[in-house]
Amino acid sequence: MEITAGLVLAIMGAAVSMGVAAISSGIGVGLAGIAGAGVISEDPKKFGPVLVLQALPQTQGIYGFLGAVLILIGVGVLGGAAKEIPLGMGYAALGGGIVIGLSSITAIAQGAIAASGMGAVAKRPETFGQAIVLAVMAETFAIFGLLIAILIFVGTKIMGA
Amino acid sequence: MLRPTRMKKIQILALEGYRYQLIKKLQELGTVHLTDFAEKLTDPVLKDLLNPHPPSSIIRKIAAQTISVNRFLDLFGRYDLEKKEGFMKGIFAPSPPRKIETREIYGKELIDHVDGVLEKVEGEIEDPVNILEKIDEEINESEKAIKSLNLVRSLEIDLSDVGETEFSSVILGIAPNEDLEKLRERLKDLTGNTFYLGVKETSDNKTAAVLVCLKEETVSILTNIRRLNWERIDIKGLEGTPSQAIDSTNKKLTLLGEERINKEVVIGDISKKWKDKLKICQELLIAERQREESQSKFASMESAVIIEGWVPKHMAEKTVAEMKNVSHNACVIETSDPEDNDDVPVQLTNPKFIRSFELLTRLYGLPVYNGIDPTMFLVPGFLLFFSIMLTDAMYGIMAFILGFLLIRGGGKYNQLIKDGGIVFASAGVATFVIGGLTGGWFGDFGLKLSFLKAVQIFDPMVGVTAFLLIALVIGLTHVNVGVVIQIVDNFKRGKIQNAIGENLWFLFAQPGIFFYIIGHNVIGLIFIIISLILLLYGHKAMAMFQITGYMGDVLSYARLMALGLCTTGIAMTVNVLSSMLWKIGVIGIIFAVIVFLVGHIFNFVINAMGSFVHGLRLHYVEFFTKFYQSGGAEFAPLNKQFETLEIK
Repeated sequence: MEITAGLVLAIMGAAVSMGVAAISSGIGVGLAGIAGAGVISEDPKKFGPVLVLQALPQTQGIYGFLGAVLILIGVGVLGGAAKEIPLGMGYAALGGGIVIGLSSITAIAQGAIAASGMGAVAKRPETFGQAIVLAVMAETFAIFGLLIAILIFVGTKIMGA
Repeated sequence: MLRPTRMKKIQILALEGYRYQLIKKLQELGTVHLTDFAEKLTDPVLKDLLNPHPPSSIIRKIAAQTISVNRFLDLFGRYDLEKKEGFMKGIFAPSPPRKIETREIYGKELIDHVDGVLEKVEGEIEDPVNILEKIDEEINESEKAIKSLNLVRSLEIDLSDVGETEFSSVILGIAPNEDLEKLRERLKDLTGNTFYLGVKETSDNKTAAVLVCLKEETVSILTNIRRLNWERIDIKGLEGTPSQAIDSTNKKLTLLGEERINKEVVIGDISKKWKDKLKICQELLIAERQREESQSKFASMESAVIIEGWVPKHMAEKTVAEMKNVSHNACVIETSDPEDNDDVPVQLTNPKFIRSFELLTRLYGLPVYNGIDPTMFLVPGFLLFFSIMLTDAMYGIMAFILGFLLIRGGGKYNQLIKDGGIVFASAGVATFVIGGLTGGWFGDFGLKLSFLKAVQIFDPMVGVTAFLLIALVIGLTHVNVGVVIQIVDNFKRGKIQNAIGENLWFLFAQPGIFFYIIGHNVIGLIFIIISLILLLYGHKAMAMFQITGYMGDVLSYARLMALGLCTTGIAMTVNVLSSMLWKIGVIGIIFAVIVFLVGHIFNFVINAMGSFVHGLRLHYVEFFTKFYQSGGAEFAPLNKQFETLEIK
């Protein structure tokens, strides 16, 4: 496989996508986990709801992973056929990676919401569903970020037939 | 189906003498949700006529008995030799719940019966429990002694010498090595060299020591040397060297352990004998307590009692008949329709399949009585959204199997698990269909089989833009359905202004934009102008936010496409990784299979959870907000439900 400048830029895009999303999800899940440990120290039976709430900020990490994989498959680093990657396409892939990475920062806020949600569930177990909805609201813009990235990839022929 | 169960207000005026029978009958019927009269009694007219009903006289007795019964059951629970069912087994393959047969006991007979049982149990269990506590104490002390003995193990003294004689004290202790010199110096000063300190070094830089000094100087010496990190080891009543003492104490511990087991068996036997009888007492007391507590909701008037509550419309006639029967017609009963400002409790009624989805509505909150029960709208929407976001037929099969296992397992005895199973199973079926149509069989793995490829009518990874458009169109439709529900509901309730001003503008805006785009400018403009007029009429200054709000609502449905692609993408990644490993030879094949299975299970779990949560979220935030009013109180009738009792 020929290492062109375009290919390097595309790989950097994949790196940004996964790397920033990993940091954000990690912090978010960490915030939630800190609260979760407090909840189960009072009542170990609440581990189920606590675990579900802690898992919610993880989705941004998955979007980052997906974005990185789409780029890598699209430019032929992974599995797909090796292509000639022009410089422009490299920049486009970098842009897509950046938008996913940046929009994944919402995971930090989502982690904070999930942490508070655990406090709500600890006091009143019937608010579990509502706590989940509150946390999930923060994910809206991460999803839009993924969407824009996908549109970029499709538009610049990184993805699609 | 569209609305919560229609209720009727029921008011009963009866002779006080029949009060107990009336309550008992209400409890058996389980159809009446009692309202508290206390709020009504603030009304000046009623305050003159009525008094709050005096609280039950035996409720404290019942509470005390309940505490005693629960205490014994807890104690038995601790020594119960029966194995408790594991969590997983409880969900997927629970054993049928045990039923205890009994005849029904109530009223004074119940109080006396429970007193009798409690007396007998207390008699049998008092001794074994006391002995057990003593044994535990002794075990504790012996264990502490062994810990201390281990610290001074190296000293070769006779422990029976430790303590006080007529003129001297023998004390054991531990000090850090580096403080030993200081210790000797201090002791020389304090006692004028009248002391003995015998030392033996132990592990980790400490020294065990035996100190002999004059009895009268003991207290001051101890207070002093404690500041030099002297730790006193208190051992009483033992003989021989520390090693010998450790042995003898260990033997004692073994004996105590055996005695303890014996006593546990004794208590276990008592538990077996009385557990069922106590459980009967416990549940009968709960039912009796409910009867007695409900009295405080009534009003009284000389020798009459007034009971008020809500009864479902279709049960009203039967309830009235039973009440008249029980009180030998010595009562006046009136049923009436609820008034507008009444806080009517809410009971959802839906056909069997839809009923299982009620838990999704409850997760958000029950509707108000005059509102709409959104469950029947939730079902098709949720199934569609879930299946689009989890676009994989094999994952659909996995969800179906999971749901099926839940229905057949815990669902046999637990309605909640059964409902959850039905939700999963139906979501699985929907996902199977959509997954098959989009060519997802463990990602692109199954497409190797040509007949599966033939079913695929749409490839989401290729037709990305088309997929996005489909998602937005679905979203637009969903929002429109919500708007239509709101408009129709408000018209029916006579709230014309709400019906016209709130959302109607949106229904005009869409054809307006449509006609304008396709070229029929005049018709388009007419619709747009009407829509703008309605918008400004309904919202005035907030009109701009309505437009952006709707844009946001529709765009939110783009997540259907994003999450659907996410599942497909990760499934593809798993397949790519597996196929890369597969090529590496025998070891590679093993790892390829592992990666395939683990990866797809992981993808299934993460994306099923995501599809579930986001499918619900789209309903709660974009759909419900158009027409749904939550905040209703649950219909909670006076009800007799025994967990383990079966009345003969």
